[in-house]
Amino acid sequence: MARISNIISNATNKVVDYALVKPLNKLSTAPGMARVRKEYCNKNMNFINGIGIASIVLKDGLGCYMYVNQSLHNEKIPDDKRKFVAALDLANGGLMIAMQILMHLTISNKLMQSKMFNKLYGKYFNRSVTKGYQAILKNHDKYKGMTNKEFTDAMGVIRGKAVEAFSNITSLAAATIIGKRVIVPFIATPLADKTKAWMCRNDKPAEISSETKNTYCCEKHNHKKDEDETQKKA
Amino acid sequence: MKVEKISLNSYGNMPRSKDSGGTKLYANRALNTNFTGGIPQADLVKDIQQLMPKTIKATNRLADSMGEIQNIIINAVGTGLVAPIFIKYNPLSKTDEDTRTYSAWRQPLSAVLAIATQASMVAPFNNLINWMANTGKLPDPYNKTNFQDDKYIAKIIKKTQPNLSKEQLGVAVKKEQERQYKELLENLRNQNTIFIKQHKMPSKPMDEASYKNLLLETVDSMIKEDNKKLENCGTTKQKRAIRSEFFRKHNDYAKQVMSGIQKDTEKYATLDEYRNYLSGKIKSLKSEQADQELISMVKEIQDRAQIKPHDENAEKALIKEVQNKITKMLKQVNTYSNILSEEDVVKHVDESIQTSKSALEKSISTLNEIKTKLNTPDSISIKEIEKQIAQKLKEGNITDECSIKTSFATKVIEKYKSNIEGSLKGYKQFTGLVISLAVLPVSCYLLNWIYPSFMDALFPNLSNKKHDNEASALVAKAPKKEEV
Repeated sequence: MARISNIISNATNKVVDYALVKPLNKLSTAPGMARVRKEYCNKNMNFINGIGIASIVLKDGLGCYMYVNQSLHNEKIPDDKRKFVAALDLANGGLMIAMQILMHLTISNKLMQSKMFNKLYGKYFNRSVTKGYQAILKNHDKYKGMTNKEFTDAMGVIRGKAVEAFSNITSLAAATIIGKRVIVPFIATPLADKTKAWMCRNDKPAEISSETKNTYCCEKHNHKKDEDETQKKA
Repeated sequence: MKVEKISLNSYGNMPRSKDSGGTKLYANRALNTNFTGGIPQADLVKDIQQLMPKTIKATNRLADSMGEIQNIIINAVGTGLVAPIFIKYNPLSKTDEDTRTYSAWRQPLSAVLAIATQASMVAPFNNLINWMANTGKLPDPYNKTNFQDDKYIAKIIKKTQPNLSKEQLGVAVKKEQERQYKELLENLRNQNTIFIKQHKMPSKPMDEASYKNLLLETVDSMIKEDNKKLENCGTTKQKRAIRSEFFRKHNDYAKQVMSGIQKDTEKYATLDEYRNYLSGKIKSLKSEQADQELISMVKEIQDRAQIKPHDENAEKALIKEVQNKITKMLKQVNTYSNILSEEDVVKHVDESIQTSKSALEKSISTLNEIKTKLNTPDSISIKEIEKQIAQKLKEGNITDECSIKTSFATKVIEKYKSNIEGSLKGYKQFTGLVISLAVLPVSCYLLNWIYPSFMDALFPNLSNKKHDNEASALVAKAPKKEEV
């Protein structure tokens, strides 16, 4: 029994080694990784945030292509809605990419970042507060001999980390939530109407499925229809 | 995944010294001797963070783990929660509401699928990368064997000593991390190199070019640090000049207010009382339209009192700090009671700034000298660098803020650690991106497959299909043959 489990464990380790460890090792030395490493080591926030945004933009680009393609050929989506869904995907995709790059360029700006950080987090790092922390630590035996320099260096590390996370989150949130999900839909939905019209320019008039129950302002439409008929009669 | 057994007492695969005929182990002579590295920064950072508000703790935890998974989650929050609202309630769209509602429902589904497919694939890869870095299975720039993670060390200790309690395990992990730190420090000082342990291979010294580069990067970061402080001297000078001028102009008033605060707070025993008193004082000063400089002085005292202490000792320490600050401020006010003109104030401020300015300049020039020596073909060792710095410190006039005040070897370790952590972060982000892109077609396919069925099942009115029960209700309602 023990022998069998040993054989299985050895085989699993070999599979992990060949299928995951070795490819990951290769990937760690892939072209471009030296640049990525250098920028991450130097904590170049513009580059780090840019990589995050690039990742989302790349996925959006590929996703947009696939969604449009699939939506157009998805027979499960009703005929009368298929082109609008696809058009919305196309308009969304293009605008999302542009808007995310734009938001990244503005929000990740060093001056903007430092202003936002100081406004929200500045109070936790002002000199008076840090002096308070230092006084508490000095009260412990472990830190009796702590120098000012050691303390300020450690505070610098904490501040640096906070700046890094803040910059990352604000940049991503601005791009993916505000830019992509608030601003883009406002522009994309009307644009989708136009895209759909362009996509349907050569189509015969589409028949709306008799089972689709349109709840959109039905009363208003009926009322208008009645009014028109009365006017005609008159 | 297999966790290999590593002896915690000694690394059997330590390299053999060349100068001792290949018999002496580096590890044997390096440990626990002449340890003068000061307080390990990682410990200090952890303990300071414990004192800070939860917001900072959470933000810093995020900084450690920020990567592709966080990207996916933030993106999914926008997709799932925000996008549907702006699609459905868009006043600019001319498309009917049903179609918009139909499209809006796609977003939360897409968000759930993105997390389920992409994040669930990236997370195990991140764990695998961490494991590879801790065991030395990755190339040198990602090798964490010299400062392994808490979790990894705990896992190894648990394997050899399964009966340890949680507290004992914590102590053992800390001890092992301290051992690794001391070993790094001693190897830097005595062997002038960093030994990198590799999986199932003997440790090897870091290659010369990378080591030299690490030292140069350390010196550069120290110069940058000092230059930044030198630039800040200008702002400090301006701030000090404004306050000093206030002390000169309104000396009696400032003295009266500060003595009043000192007298009033003498009777307080808790930090809460201090807080209440100081916020009341600020309010009353504001209503009296007192000078802004005086208000900000009281605010500086209040900021110290605002910290929430975790125990009685911390509270006592903070109260003492508040009292010291009040005394210090009174002393400052008194200093300026004899200075009569504005020129004298400027001269006084200049003198106080000049000391730190010249100290920083001296620190920068020392570092530049070291940089030049490092760039020569002979180069210099860490021991020699530390000797040169010690000499400069002996000459005097180097203030606490100068970067050369911290041991150079410690600075090299900090840089080495931050380089490896940075490299790993970048690598994880890159791998995450590759995995997410690879999984994306699956997410798209799943969405396209699930979305229409989901809408058919839950919102038959929006799609063309009706629920079975709705369909049967319609059939029941339909006129029967006999009725026609």
